Amino acid sequence: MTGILGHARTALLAAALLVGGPTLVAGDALAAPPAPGARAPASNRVQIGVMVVYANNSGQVDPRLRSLQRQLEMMRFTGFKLLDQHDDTLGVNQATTLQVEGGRRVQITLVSRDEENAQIRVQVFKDNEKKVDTTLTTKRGRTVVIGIGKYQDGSLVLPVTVSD
Amino acid sequence: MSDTLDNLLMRLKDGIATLAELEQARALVRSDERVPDELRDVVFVEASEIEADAAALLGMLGLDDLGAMLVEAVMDEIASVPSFVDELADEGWDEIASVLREGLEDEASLGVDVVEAVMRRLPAADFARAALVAPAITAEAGEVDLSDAVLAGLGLAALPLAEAVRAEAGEVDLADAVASTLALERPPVAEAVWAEAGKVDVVAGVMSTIGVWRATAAPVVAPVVAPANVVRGGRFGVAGFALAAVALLSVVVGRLAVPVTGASDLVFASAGEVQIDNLQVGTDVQVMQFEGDGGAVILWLETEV
Repeated sequence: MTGILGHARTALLAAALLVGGPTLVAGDALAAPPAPGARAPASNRVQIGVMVVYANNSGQVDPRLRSLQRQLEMMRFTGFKLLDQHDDTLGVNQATTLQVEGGRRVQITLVSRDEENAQIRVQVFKDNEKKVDTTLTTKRGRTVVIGIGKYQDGSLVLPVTVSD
Repeated sequence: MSDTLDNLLMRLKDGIATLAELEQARALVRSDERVPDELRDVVFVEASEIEADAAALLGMLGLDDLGAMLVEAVMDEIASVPSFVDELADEGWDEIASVLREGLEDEASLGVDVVEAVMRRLPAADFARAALVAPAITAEAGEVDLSDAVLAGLGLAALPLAEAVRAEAGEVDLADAVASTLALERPPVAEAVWAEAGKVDVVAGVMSTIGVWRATAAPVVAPVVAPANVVRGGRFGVAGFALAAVALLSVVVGRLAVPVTGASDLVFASAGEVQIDNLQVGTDVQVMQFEGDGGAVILWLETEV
């Protein structure tokens, strides 16, 4: 898994960033999003769950994050504390926003969804300045962990779960 | 008749009886039922033993204490025995004999002077070995357990000392004393355990041991750094988004086989279940991608924020 797939992903990512043109969106194959503001039918809605985790090297692990610990340790941290938890239901083109420690704001938008996957856009703002804007497609019912920057002696990490 | 015999025997013992009284005593002894048959014809035979025979019969009949007579008889016998000591003892023996005599007299507390008799009869050759007696006794004493006898003498039952010691030891904390003797500070074990417990995660080890974690999630990522720094100006109408510098966006992809405690039913997406479609970052952001053996992908973006 570290070989072809890993390098392919890196190349894909680098190409998308280097070109700077139209974003390479695998989600293009997904269903076309409805018009902005239109209320999505219930079947098109997804549940968005976001945890705000302070990762550090304190060695202290929040009991609620025990199951996440193995994944979070991959980022070389030893301590994890759950600062906040945010849950929302989104239709296509609907967004949810949460304020995060360190003057950050995170906005998650459901771009599209099909029977199996969901495409979401994640934007991270720091003092109202956009620092990150990424779109990713993930299988529903799965959790993707997104780190959003340094905080105190560690970093802030957002496990984002997209489910039905 | 008995009284007559008894009186005659007394007179004979004292040496004041007449021949007629001697003959009468002989006749009465032969007919007196208290006198055994084997003695009736042997007493009062020898003229020199008349008094002794009378005394013996009086003693036998319970009419007189034979102690004094026996002692006298013994002394007469002793006096007739040649003394080996006088012939064999050297100068050292006199000192030993003196000590023994005093000891025997104290112990005996008798008017009977058996000491002389005993000392006379002790072969000098045996006493030559006396020097070995004391060490032998000392050696034997070393192997003799006197505790029971002493405890019994004190009216105490033998104590189960081992159990008693153990019982007492269970209540005595020797750690401080030992540490003090060794000039050591007693280690703050409890505090150390708590401190270490705060840093040591036993959960992962336990979960791994019982096989709860999936193998695909176990490996730690070996960084395969793929810098993807790109300057993308004007995208958001600000000069701001380029790839360089520090802070972050990271995406970690993996699978967790068990529900998350406190965040129920979380399952991490595997590498094949997530696709980064677009990524735009500010000018102060640097992007790197890591991938682990388990298929996990880490997209690490850092900013200087």
